[in-house]
Amino acid sequence: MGNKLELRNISKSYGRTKVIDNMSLEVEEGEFFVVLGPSGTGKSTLLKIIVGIEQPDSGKVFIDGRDVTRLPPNKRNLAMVFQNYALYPNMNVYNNIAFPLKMHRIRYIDRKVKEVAAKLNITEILQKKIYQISGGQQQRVALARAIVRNPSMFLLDEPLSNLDARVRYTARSELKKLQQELNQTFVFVTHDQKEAEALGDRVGVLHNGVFEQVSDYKDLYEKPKTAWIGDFVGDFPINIIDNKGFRPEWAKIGSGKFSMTVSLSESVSDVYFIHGLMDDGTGIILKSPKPFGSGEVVHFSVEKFIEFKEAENPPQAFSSV
Amino acid sequence: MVSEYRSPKSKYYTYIGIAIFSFLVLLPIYILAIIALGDPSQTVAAYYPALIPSKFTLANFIKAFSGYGSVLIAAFYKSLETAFIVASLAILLGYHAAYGLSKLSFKVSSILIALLFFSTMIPSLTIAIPISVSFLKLGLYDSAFGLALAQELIVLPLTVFLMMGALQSVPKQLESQARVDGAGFFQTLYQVIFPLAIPGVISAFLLSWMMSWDEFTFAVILSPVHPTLPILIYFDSTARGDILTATSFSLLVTLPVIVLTIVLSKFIKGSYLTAGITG
Ligand SMILES: Nc1ncnc2c1ncn2[C@@H]1O[C@H](COP(=O)(O)OP(=O)(O)O)[C@@H](O)[C@H]1O
Ligand SMILES: [Mg+2]
Repeated sequence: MGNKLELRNISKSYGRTKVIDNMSLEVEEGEFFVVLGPSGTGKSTLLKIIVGIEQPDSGKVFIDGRDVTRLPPNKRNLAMVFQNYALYPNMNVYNNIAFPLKMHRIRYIDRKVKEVAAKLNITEILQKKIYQISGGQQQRVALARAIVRNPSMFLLDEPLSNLDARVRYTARSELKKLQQELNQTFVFVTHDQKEAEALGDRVGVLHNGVFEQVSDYKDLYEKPKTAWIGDFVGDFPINIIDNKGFRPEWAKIGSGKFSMTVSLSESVSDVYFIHGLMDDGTGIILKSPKPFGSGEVVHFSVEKFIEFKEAENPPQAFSSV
Repeated sequence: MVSEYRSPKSKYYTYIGIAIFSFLVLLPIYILAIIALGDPSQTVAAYYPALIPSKFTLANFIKAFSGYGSVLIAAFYKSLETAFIVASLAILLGYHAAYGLSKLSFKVSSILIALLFFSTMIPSLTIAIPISVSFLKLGLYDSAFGLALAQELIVLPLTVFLMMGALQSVPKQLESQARVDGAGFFQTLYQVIFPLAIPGVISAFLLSWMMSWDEFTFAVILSPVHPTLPILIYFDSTARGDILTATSFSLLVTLPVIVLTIVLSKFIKGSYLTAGITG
């Protein structure tokens, strides 16, 4: 009990590409669950399987403990916001929001539309055509259309990625507030780890068709299960020497058994990140209170590290700057 | 993006192009109109006919239509009825066929479309005779509905093709969104997709209407007793050999097409279609 959503051994291929590979997942009631992964890893496909637009090749989807795998989308009572909002272009804002109410034959349409519009601050644009409103407003309308009825959970496919940076930050915090107010389950898909960090109660990192790690964001950074996650999560990829991974701030500059030749110093607020190469060509990034010139040799020691499994290929992104 | 920026100059070229094109299309209709409405002394009887006649007359019309107004009206009505049945049926069948085809892979749907068009390559005359035999048995002979069914053979492939284009311009995601919002399959088909395909639907309606309006072969074989307008005019203008009456008739045939085109043209603007999809 308590599980809102359960995926059991889901697999999905398009032709020869296996997008989802025997994936299982449980999402709790009221949880803000973030699916994080680079683009093309099957995040949208996963949401489509949950909502019922795509059928999995095998496996089952449970919502509120009920097997919905064979149910069409309109029988699953889920709400979804698509990446580009998919607003109905022939309807005005009001009718877009009213549409799910009409389809579910819910009463008091007018009152509900106005309530949700007030909540999302779009009352003034209710009579506008959807091509007359800004991207930020479109995002709110899509959100309003999702929350206007009482779905059993919400699925959001990168709803912030189309917004300008400014609008994106406010929209992000508003979304989190909204979820807490509604006290509903959200599954939120993104490729942006900052969003995952800010929003997710738990974050599932999607790679090769499965969740390579599911934990809170802090653990993704501090205790990555694989070198790939260490590389993907964080502003800088994790440093790896002999299958031991360490973050830039886990090393101490000055003395130690390792050394590297500096290629550049990058300033971030009042500290510096020193990029360099070790003698064997391994790229290293270290945190330092002062900059170093290109070509300088820096000695350092590693104070804290994680042991990765053997045979884990060091990720590509290590090619030094 | 090469065409992103368009200089003000290129806009003028567009207008000039449109003007030339409109002139070429409208000139014959204009000449038709002045012969029908102008005084014969200034049009067909003049050595150097004026481009804008100063004397107008309804005499040509009166002469053309007097004596058999009821036959003419019956023919006009029959053509109108047939054309509307053809166009409506084409939309009804074409929309569903096109939706089905749009769900198939491109390879399969193109083969099916090609097969559809193949059927139009059979001369109407070849199939009109056997159809007339069946229609006699079924009681559809000489009826507007029967004629409309036969004309559907020529009209449908093109309608389906046009409608597929219209459906392709409707973003797939809206269909998914509608299903998630609680719409059933048919609700989605009629309440979400159809309104978005309206520009294409109207074009298809107009085209099939016009194809029926001046269709000849099926009309002359399947409905000779109560003929449609083109058939009546053909019989009449060849029999009487009078260019003045013939132009009056031609104008009568042309006018409904123009009216219908103008009435429906405001629906054929597709620019708002993709506005809901950003990114
Ligand atoms: N309808 C489809 N047909 C074929 N391949 C698809 C289809 N949808 C997605 N894919 C492929 O599946 C993979 C995952 O796509 P998607 O779920 O959209 O990834 P993401 O949302 O993480 O960017 C991609 O390689 C994409 O090309
Ligand atoms: Mg996606």
